[in-house]
Amino acid sequence: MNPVLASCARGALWCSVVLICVLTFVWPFVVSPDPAQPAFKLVAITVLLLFLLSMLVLLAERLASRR
Amino acid sequence: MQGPSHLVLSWCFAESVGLRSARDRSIVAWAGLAPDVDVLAYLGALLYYRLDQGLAFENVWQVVHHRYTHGLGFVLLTGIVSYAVASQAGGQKGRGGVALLAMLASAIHNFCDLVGGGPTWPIYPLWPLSETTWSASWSWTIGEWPNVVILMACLAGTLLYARLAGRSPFECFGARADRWLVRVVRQEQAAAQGDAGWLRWIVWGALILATVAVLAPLGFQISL
Repeated sequence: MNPVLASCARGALWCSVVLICVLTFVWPFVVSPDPAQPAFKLVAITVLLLFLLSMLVLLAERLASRR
Repeated sequence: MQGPSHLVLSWCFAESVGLRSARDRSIVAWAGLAPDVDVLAYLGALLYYRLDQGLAFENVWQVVHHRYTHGLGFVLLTGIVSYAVASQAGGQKGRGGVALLAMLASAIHNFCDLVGGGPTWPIYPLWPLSETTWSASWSWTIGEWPNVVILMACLAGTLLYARLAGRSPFECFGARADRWLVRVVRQEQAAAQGDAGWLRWIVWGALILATVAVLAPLGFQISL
């Protein structure tokens, strides 16, 4: 697998994990506690997809490196 | 999000960041499921109220679920326990790393429940320091299609990864359970089939119980 893609995925995974912590523990206290805010919906779903996709790429990279 | 999804995603997280020890990957995976340990309170309440689901739900589950285990306090507790039980292979630094990953897996669980736990089940991000709740009005309920798709993808991914990599989230149930799954998906013959006969029944029983545990709260119906 392309090493650039793998390192991008690694960076994206850690970015998404940091954002997950911010969205869960910081957002309601610092940004807004409104549960209906559209900005939170957009960011949360984007971060979830980023987390899942980057993990998928890293798992594929681990599989490729074992072969 | 369903329990098996949390377990598989947490194991994949540990695997994708390169944790080498099966024991440490299992610790991170169980840490990712740990916030749902409050289900034990519901089971206890069911026994206490002599299987009256209404009373158990109203008096215990509605009060307890997400309150004590879905917040920063429980995340820290997860880290402490994980540090204590992590493998000694990497020394103190390695154990610290496992504890950090376990805490992150627990935090990811909170986020997944925020997005996929339903709007009526808020989390308590700063409990016990604050009783402030946090939820999203658009959050998917447990039986909605995004949660079902994630669960199916996790189960299919587990089988595929076991076949290709020779290991899977079944590591969480022990090395023998994982070897059994790998043998099944690779259609290999066991070296000593008689020895593992009872284990096969335990694993199939656990799979059936897990399926029932996922479908029972949905009334065995999936909403699309």
